Amino acid sequence: MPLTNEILARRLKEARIAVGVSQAQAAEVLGISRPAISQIETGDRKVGSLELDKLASLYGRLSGDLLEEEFDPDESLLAAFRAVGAQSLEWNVQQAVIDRCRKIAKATRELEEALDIGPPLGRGGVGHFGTAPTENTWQAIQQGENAAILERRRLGLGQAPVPDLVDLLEAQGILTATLNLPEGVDGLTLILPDGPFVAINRQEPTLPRRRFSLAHEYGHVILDARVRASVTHRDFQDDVREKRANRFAAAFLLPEEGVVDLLTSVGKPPRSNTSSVMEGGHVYSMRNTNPASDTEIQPHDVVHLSHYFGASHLAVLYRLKSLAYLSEQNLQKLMSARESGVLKKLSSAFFDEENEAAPSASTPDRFHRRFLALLLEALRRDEISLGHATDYAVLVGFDSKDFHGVVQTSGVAPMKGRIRNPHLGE
Amino acid sequence: MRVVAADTCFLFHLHQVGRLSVLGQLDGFCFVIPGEVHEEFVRPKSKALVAEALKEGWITLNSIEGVDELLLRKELIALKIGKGEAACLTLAVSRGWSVVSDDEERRFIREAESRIGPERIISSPDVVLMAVRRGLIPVEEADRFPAVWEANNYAVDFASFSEMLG
Repeated sequence: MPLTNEILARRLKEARIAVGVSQAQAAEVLGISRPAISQIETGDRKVGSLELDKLASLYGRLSGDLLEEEFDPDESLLAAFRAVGAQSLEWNVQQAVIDRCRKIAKATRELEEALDIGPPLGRGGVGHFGTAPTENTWQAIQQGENAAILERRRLGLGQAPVPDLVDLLEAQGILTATLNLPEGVDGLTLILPDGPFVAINRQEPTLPRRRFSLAHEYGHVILDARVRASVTHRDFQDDVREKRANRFAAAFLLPEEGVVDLLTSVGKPPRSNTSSVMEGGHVYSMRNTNPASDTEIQPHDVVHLSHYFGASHLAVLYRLKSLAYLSEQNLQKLMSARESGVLKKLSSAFFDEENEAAPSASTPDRFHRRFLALLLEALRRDEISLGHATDYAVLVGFDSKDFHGVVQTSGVAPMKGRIRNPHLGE
Repeated sequence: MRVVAADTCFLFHLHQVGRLSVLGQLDGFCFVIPGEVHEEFVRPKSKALVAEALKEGWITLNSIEGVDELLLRKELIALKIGKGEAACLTLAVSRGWSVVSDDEERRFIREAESRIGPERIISSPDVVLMAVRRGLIPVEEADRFPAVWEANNYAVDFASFSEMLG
């Protein structure tokens, strides 16, 4: 059936109701009255294109979705997002995050397709373990640990550090991006029809923490493949899915045998009599909670592990606790060392601390550099108009004027004009 | 009255030579910007510029409405044409308007030519030449415009407006 104004009006109402947005909220976003929204939804008032864009975004969709031949009101990513516990985020923040990330994913895929190039390293297919959702923390943590072991095995990583997580994820078919996300949001995962999309927050100042966030989202892709949208927010840390993804990230970045080998090589062999206990909602293996002083983990061991595996000091500390290298008392002692800056000082004294610092949020990073290169090449081949390229550049955070300067400098798409109608107006 | 859907580049090109106001003096022409173009003015100075043009009536604001126009805009964006450009072309196709384009030999102009024909596409130099012919801009002043545009990443294929008056 061809789309009519009446059908579009009905779809807008269904889409709004599907995500629990009130007419008053929709009216506020559009800057119009609530009765005007009502009129749009009854077909008594035509919806403008910008209004459609804003409403679609508000309802967790692309505006084009509402104009497709087929329409399913329950297909909203925003609804999926809320279903996994994102209610505590402001609704407009949810909407903004989902909308922007979905558009960036679409833009990147579109550019790759326009240039007829494979994604970086030729994206393959990610290994899904399809683990059933669990409400049991113990099971969730075991699932995370096991999934990491299996995934490392599948990828042939052995016990070595993960060399480059972005390359690795992209090679598994996962589109990755570092974006300026709202405060408190560490990352998010979208399972889209053309593949998973993972974004982490550029506001995170250190590379090891970014790596952990990326590994955490990788865990969501693998373990929560049926959840179309997941957000990692500091307020959701008690959610079992988050705990599971955290454990996946820790075990993926810091494989148990690798940690044991490294510590053994510096005179800190593992202890025997491992058992597992649950403590304050966390599951820990117990090797020895009262290690001898000569094998006790020291701040320099934490820094060594952190540097070797590219994991943050905090991630190493929790991993060592979960592997029973640390008692609660040891953990607190090392946490104090971290808080007082001892670990950081050690890092700069013995390791290259510069490697720890991520580019500032305003500095183009790897994702942005590749995106820009794709844009320039698409422009050069005339696969995309300058206006479209500018829309995309702005979408990922470039200033439009700066982008035009880059286009000009690169010489890929010089803007040329001429007299087209010499007798115009005569 | 000839209605022309104008994009961001066109407004900037006239602003760069200090002649945006000429749009309000061209009898028989009405320059319209769609909401999508209006949204592209994000910097405070740019916003002030477009606000002044709207307030003074040099340009007016219009919106794409109705399923047919929305579907056409969607189709054009899918062809990798910018939102602002697509909105201008949608209005031109749907309502019989003209459109401005200052980007020759590229994707947008080809699409515009195939949909509305070359006679309904005008350029910034066309508008300036018309203003010169009508005595709204002295030709000596207009002859300085190509250099200004060149400095702002917009090259034209003629040296001066004087030679075009011929």
